Amino acid sequence: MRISVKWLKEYIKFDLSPKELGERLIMTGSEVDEVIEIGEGLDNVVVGRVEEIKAHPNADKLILCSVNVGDESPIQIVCGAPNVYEGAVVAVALPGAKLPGGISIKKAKVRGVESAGMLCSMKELGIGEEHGGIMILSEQMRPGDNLVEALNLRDTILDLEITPNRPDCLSVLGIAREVSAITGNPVQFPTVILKEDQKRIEELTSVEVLDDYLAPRYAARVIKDIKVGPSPAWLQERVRVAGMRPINNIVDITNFVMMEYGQPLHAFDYNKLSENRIVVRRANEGEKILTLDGTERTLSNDMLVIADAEKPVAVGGVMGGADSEVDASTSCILLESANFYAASVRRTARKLGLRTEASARFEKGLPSELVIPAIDRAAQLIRKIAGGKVAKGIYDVWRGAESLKELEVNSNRVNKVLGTNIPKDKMMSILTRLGFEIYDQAECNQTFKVKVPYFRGDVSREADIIEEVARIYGFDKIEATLPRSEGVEVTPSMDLVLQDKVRTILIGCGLDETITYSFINPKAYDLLRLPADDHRRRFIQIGNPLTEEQSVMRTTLIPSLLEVVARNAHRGVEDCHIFEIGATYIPEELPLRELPEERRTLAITLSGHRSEESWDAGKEKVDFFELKGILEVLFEELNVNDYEIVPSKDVIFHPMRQASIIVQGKNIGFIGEMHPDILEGYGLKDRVQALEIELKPLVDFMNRHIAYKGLPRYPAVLRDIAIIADKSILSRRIQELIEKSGGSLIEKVHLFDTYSGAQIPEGKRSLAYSIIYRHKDRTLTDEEINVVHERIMSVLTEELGVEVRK
Amino acid sequence: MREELESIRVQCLNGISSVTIHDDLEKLRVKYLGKKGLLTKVLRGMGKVSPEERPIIGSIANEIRDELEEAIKTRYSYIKEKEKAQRFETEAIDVTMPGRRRSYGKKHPLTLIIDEIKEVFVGLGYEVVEGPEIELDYYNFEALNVPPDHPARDLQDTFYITDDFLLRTQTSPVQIRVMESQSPPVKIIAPGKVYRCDSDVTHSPMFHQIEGLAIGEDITFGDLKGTLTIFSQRLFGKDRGVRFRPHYFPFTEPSAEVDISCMICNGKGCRLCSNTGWIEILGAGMVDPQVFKVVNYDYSKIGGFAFGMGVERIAMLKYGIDDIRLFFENDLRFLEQF
Repeated sequence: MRISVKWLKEYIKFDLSPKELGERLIMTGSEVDEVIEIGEGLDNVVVGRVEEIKAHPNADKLILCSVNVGDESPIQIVCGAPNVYEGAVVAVALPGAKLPGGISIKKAKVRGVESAGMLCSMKELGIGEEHGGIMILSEQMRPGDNLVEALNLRDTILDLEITPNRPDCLSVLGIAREVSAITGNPVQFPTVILKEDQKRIEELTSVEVLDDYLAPRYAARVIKDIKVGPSPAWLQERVRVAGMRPINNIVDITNFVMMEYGQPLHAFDYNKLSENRIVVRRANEGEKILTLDGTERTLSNDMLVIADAEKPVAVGGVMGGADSEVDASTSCILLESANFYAASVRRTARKLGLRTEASARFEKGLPSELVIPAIDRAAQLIRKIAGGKVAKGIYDVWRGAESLKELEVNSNRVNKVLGTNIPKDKMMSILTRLGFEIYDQAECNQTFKVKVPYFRGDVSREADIIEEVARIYGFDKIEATLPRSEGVEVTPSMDLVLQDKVRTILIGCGLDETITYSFINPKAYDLLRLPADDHRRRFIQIGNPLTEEQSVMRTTLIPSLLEVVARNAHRGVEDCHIFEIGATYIPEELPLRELPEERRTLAITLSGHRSEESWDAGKEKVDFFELKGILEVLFEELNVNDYEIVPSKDVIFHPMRQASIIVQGKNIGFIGEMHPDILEGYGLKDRVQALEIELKPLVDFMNRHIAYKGLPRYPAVLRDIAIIADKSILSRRIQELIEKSGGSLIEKVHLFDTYSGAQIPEGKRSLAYSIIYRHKDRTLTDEEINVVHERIMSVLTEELGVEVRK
Repeated sequence: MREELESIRVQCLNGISSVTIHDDLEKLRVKYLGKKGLLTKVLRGMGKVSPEERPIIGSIANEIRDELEEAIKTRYSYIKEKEKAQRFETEAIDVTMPGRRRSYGKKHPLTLIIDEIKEVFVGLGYEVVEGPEIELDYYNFEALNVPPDHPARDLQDTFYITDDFLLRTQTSPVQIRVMESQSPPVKIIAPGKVYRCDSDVTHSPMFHQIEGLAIGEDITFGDLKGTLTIFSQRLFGKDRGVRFRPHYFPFTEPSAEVDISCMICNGKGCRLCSNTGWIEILGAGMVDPQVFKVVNYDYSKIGGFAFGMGVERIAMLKYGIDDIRLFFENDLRFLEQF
């Protein structure tokens, strides 16, 4: 909402500078988005008259203007605007001017011809939006006069952000009321005395409201014998500073009154209305109207239209129709001031993709009481400016007034909520200045009653009154305190503690955390080569996505991470060790009938080299075991010990390099090397190792009790065992067998070497384990160990058919 | 005999001073002072010396032995030091060469900010909770006093899944879920992802918010100011001015926006703060009675405040990031700066 300080001062006196006024408005709830100084930078801009126009010798589109700027001889200016003519009075920027648009004016040669200044458009002068041609001034103006003085331009515009609960502030009078509350000075409302004609309106027209829910009030006046023409300068200026384009006196007045009162108005050409009457009804399905912006709109039955006897002539509260537009030939108008149901205007405007100054006001809810003062004010101005006779009376169809809301205010309660000691008198004076009527108040009583003014539809409860008192009293005057401690026990959510812990462990392993969008491209599931019945294809779709790439909720994090790997690789970052903790969205049924499960999921991908680049380090690439090692560290740190890694068959992985991760018998995820076809689909050349697990099942392990075990006091004995086994025998099976047959003397078994190739038969591999033996109460003898070691060897041979190398 | 001893002494001392490696010195020691060494050999001839002279020769021999042992020991240390010095010389390294790094990862910058904010509020006794991202229209709007066709819905362009299910546009529905499931007092913060159909340099269709809620018998607007002042100054520095400006939110009354004095120009006015000297970081207010009604809390007995903030916005201000999309591109050269 653009508020001209000059205009505002016509309704209220105040001593604040525009800057101070802006500050005070900010601190009472009207945020100032921008302060625009009109007239700034126009010191060297003067009135000029174009005496003669000649063609430019070197350019077809340019002309040479000889301009009288009050000096003895005219100056020559090169100009390209199409609307200049001999005798035109124009705004001339002389050398030295620095225009608000950023242009500095100097004497210069334009295509080889001297130009001693510039003829300006309104936009270049910062006083309007028009840029089509240069600004043409009244012929009465004297060449050489300073433009700002001549037009009385100097003003400050405050561009205010009005919150949606305060449609009353979308008007100069509304802001004047706020200023009144701030300063204590009274608002001078315009005096409206309207001289009416003898002819009664009922003889000229009728208004029929067929849906008084969508149109609670519709008032019309008829004004005949008007003369449509340009508005006087003062009115044009008002319309312009409000950010609109002057059109003609009638339209300008309706816009002026809308800005002044906050009530949108519309003028129809009376003679263009079929049977000269108004019917307010719902649109017929598919009914069409050509709106004022020149677009044909197709309407639906939930929209309200203003119609004449035959057809719609306006979309109620949104925009008028072109067929009934007021133009130069109009001699009689029907002036509309009405109230429309907010939600319906909002829906209609959205559906038509047409937001106007009118709809922006109606959709926030306006009071029906505003209808009459606004229509009378507009009629008064039309009579004064465009002449004409105002028919007697208003054709007013109103569902009926609602009585003003009455509220009881307890001043103790106000102070308790705010943490203040504001005296009751102070509260009452704040409310009075805001237009509330105080009654039923006794000196000795803490409570009082208020009547809420009709224009404050947002105030209906004590809490709203508290806000009014607080914002005018000043938030900055309320002392900052801390809540008195109530001794609430705070138990951290184990899910969040787990997530934090997983993050800490993984960054310790050298992985970077990523955050990617929760919605992905459905094609990602094709890139993963998932069959049609794969459970991961049961995803939730967004009804109104921004793009196809962000249109379905992910059921796995892997595609998001692969995209990150690909993006980095594309940018030359090849070593990518990353993880993400995020939700996957698993619907119970589709379409959704209850909230889906949001499964906290961890995904890791590794690609590129194992370690950071160094001058002597190996250049090994990451492999499956690099990632499995990270998983082992993670599980160890989370106290998860009851788990298995079991070979699996998932289409997204290399068929021979993948496994399920089983924790306490439950499959919680997978690990593997991504299938080369998938990597190709993402444009990746390097192998990528990937893992995804559900975090929830790990929460229980967080509370595992840790008990200290004494350090060993007797020496350990280390023995190795090397076997040649069939490749199909899993290492885990061999290790378990060693541990089982070794019994309690075995402290630890670990695989320290594997080999296949020369000297090892085809289809077999060599595995070497070291076994640490120890007894907790004494030193073991060689004989004791030999017995166990022999037993292990024979069990391995018998049960697995492996060859033990001696 | 004296001459003999003297000549052994001289020879040996000469030998010692010319020896340069440890093994040669040991050989020299054995040659002169060993069991079969020259000095011992000479002393074996003591029989030929007169009884009067014997003690004198004996003491001379002992003196010489002591002197030689001492000289060998000194030489030994000398050689050892010299060898060490040589070894050091050969082991010289260029300390300016880069170290072999143990790689350490980075938390995402948004995680860092969320952690920092959590720490402040956990310190003030708040519990951290989560809520669903796919929400019911009821929790995201209606229960928060935003019925269908309320103009406030225009401020938040919503992704809908069906008419009833949507991607939450704010973390505020967590307030309702918490109040539905527990009775006052309540002190929670709820970080999480939120979604709006909007995408440019400062808007992302997915971003993060942190919601806060404190409900109790005597909680006042002054408490809201105190709490959020502490928070703002912990995050942005003690010298930051903090300003509470009246605003409108459907689910708080009175409502405020919280500004801090601009960290670039210190309030003088610059591009970052659009010449206002202030930067908005939070929305807040006293919980609206309508919200209490929805969750069956008794407005006449309790009060409370709620607040919400955008994590990306705070991260952008703190780290000087000018494009929100960087957070979600996950370029490692970006991530590894934090």
